[in-house]
Amino acid sequence: MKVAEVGEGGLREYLAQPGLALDFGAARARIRTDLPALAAAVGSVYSNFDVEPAEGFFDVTASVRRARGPRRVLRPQIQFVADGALPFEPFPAATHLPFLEWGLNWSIAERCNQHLLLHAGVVALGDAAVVLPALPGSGKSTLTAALAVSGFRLLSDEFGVVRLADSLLLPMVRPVALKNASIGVLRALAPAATIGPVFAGTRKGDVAHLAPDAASFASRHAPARARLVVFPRYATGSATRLEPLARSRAFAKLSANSFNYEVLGADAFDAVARLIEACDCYRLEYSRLPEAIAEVERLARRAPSA
Amino acid sequence: MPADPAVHWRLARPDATRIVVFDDEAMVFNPVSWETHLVNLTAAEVIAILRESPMSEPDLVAALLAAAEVADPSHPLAGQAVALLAELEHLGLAVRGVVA
Repeated sequence: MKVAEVGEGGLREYLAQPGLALDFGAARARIRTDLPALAAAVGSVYSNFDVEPAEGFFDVTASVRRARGPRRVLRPQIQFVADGALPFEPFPAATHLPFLEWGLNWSIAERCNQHLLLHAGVVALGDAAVVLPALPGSGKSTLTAALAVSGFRLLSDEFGVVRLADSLLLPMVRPVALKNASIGVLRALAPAATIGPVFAGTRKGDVAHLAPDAASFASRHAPARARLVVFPRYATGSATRLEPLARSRAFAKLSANSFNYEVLGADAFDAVARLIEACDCYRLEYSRLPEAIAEVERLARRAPSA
Repeated sequence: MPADPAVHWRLARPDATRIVVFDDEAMVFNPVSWETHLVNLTAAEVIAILRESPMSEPDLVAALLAAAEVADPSHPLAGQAVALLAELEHLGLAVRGVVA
């Protein structure tokens, strides 16, 4: 049964107890909450996910609950609880879904060191996976989301999960966090796509989440081989400009842009080396999203094959 | 700077040092610091030579010139190699020994 089929009341019951189990592909989480507004938001952005048995191993069991204290009525706050621990200060209750997603990201980055975790979006066209590393101002999430609604399979937004044994990319299918103007841009680009509620005035501005599509979710256990590494850079008003990037430079940028490269040592070095050797690497500067999508699609179609 | 016959060089951890060459540059994994270095092909060649076996500074310079197919022992590459070894020592990749 899909999350969308459970109904709001049923979803609230799951989320209250025993928790909603979510299989992202490379990781599993069990989430709990007693906040009706968060339950509705979860129902929206995880609509295509299966309702899994809330048993077995989970990389994280996360709860978002009301914080106790004097601010409960006037300025209600919420807490993120990861397996019984409180890693963060309370957040405003109105930012429930961004807080949950941020907390899940943090938990995954802390715990999933059996894989190399690149800070990158990953999409795939057929067998060719495209790694879109996140550098400041890159517009990585916007481009990842745009590609995901333009015929590419979404593997992940925040984490490029690289299996150490063979450098295959493992999906970590999660909602894509869109910020500020990107929300409207994605709505215009794909009116039929499911985008959850807008959370105004978070620490990162206005935030909304693109729900992963059903096909990407269904392929969450299918790894992909990276064939293309594209470092995007959004520059207001710029023409679309594509430049080849030396593999050595791509290696250096990719390894510097990882959550746990330095933790994994030689295993991470070997994994990045294998990944880069199989890829063409580029810098892509853009301001017009449709042109950027077309460029990435063109590159993916002619990317080196196995 | 001329090569010093009294100086011998070895890698700190030859079995764990990784080198991957991409076109005209290379990436090196430093097993001492766990850092990854972007180096030119001369540095990569020096590391590759030392990974095979420790050797004296003049032998190392000669091996590098041979790898570069340079016949002239006074070629600037010889001086660059000695300076490069000091940099590799600074990074912890190479270790200097002195014959008494």
